Amino acid sequence: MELILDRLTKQFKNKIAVDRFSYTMKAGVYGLLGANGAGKTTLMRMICTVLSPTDGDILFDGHSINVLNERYCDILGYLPQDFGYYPDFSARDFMLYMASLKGIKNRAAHKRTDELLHLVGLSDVATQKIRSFSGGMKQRLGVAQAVLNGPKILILDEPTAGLDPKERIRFRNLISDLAKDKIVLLSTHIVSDIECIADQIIMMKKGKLILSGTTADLTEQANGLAWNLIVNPNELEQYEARYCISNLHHTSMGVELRIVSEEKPAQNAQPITANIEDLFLFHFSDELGQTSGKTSGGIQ
Amino acid sequence: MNMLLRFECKKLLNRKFTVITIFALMLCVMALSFLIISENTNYNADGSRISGMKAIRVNKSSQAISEGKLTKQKLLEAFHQYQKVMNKPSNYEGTTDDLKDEVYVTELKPYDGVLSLLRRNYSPAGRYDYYILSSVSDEMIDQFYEIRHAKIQELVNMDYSYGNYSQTEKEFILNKDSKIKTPFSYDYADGWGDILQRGFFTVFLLIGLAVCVIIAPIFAYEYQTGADAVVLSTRFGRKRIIQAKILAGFLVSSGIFFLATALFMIITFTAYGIQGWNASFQILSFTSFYSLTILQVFLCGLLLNYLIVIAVMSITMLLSSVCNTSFSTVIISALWVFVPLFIPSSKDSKVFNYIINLLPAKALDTYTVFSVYDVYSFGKTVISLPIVILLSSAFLVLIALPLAHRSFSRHQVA
Repeated sequence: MELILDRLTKQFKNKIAVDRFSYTMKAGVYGLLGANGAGKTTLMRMICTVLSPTDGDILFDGHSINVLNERYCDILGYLPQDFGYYPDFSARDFMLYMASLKGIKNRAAHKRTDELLHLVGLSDVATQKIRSFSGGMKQRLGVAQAVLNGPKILILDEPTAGLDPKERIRFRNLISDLAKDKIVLLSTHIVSDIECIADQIIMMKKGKLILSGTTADLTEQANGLAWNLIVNPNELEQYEARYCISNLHHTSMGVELRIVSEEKPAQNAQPITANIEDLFLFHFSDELGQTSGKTSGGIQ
Repeated sequence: MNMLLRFECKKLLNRKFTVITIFALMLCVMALSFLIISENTNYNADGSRISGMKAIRVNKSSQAISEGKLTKQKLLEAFHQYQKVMNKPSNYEGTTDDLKDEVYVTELKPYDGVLSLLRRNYSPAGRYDYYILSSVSDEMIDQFYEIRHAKIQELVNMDYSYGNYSQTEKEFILNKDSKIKTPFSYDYADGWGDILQRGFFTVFLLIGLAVCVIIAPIFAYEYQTGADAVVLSTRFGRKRIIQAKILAGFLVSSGIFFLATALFMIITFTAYGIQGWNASFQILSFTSFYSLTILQVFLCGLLLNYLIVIAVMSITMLLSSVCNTSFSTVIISALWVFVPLFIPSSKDSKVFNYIINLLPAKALDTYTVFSVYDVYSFGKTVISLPIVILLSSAFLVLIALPLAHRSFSRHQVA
């Protein structure tokens, strides 16, 4: 099983949202990281056939998805960023409706609906209208509908957005359970979510693929980028202006900073083990409104 | 497909707005039906006014005298009765020109329907002179049907500011008119008259509006809720779902049409009965050139209006597939249905009038459609207005639905 994104490009008027994006995915969980506007959602929409690329192609097992058409949709599961639902439908009706859209026969649809609602913990509220659901319940319903047809490709766009920590953990575990023998592409802002469940991490910036690899590979790459430093509170502003600060903690000794920088930010700065979040900040701090981690020159 | 269809119907019908719309429609139809019935009036022999069901019963029994073929003998009988009543000085209130109430009610009212036809026949073309009968002779009554045909000739040969009829159009109309069976079949048909002239148009216009409101979200709701992304990524999300939506729209629209029509018919037929169904349409619309009975016009009207409602549904579906919200769809489609209602006929352009005729607000008026002389010429072929409405509605359905299909299937979630 192989999904190839071949120089995938999407241009909206003057803006290139996805720029010649090429990548190959095999069974496993892929975490897509990128700042807002990086083109993650556009990329996922193209993979899910709901948005046509301006250029490039998507191939599943060597066949263009434009040729596979319905056969491709048949092996696809999609949870969009803003999961749209029908407020007046019950969870059960919504699942059955989606099952009929996915071409699942009546009896199998009922069986699968019951199984999945149980799996996502919505059995007790199956007959309640979706409008009465919390954000977490709606997201779980979204995942349940995405896997109704037992998809080989599962695309989850920001599935943990807006969930409280407990729901997020539950959600991560659910995705891990469902990911077996599938290509799962998952986008999120929350780096820790991806660190936990992704086999491969893909970083996207301004529509382009900038980095990819396993968590270990990328952590390795991030080594030497993270620094620990304790400064006087009156120096804080100076450091904030110059460096990308990933964490800040007021202690009795001063302000303890976690700085992401290619260079040692100060004489007394101590190198620490970097993580994916540091790498993310290193690449995206400029887009997140922080001083870039690539700024050179220390503070004496 | 069955499950998909069931859910699409459920999506349309489950909305609070749909329930309110259907309820409001039924309420309006009921109110209109009762209003029409209540406006029937007559007088007792003592001159006291009666209305509603009582008036209908009295009208029915009093007009029984004229039932059957409207032969020259029957026309003369009504005319002589009129002359007899009018020529007797003791029938008048004092020295006035007003007939005594009891004289009018007992001696003239039973002939009112036939006398009205006589007045229409002998009044100058395009006018109705109530007093014309005083200048009519037995010989003229004898020539009733010939004079009627001549009147239609006069009407088609008149000069109109928006343009005159061509020779082929005149021949078409006169040829059709000559095929009307004479003598006319006469019967009590006040009920049919009220249904066709007053009820039909309003009921079907309301149905059209309700269909606009109910069908508007059929595609737009997917965009509005954001469900389009999920739907379009599924196996049947770009083909079968559209077929299911179109079918659901068709079923729901048809259901609303038949429900509202049935309610209207049940109330009105219960009040009026079905008497008069076999009478000539000309007893309601004297100069109509269609050789049809009242029931035939009623059925043709039902068919035409059903098709128009389906055309309204199709256009609404098309708008729904291109608009982002149900609200904008409702506004545009309701404008399309309603605005022509307020557009007066042009005094200069026949083409303009002929186009306006085909829009729902005009085309739903069955009585007018089967009464006016608007015919459409395509080269040497002349087609009557009902047929053009039928063809144009079918054409709209055949154009709008594939376009709606195309629009939704090509929709991009951006």
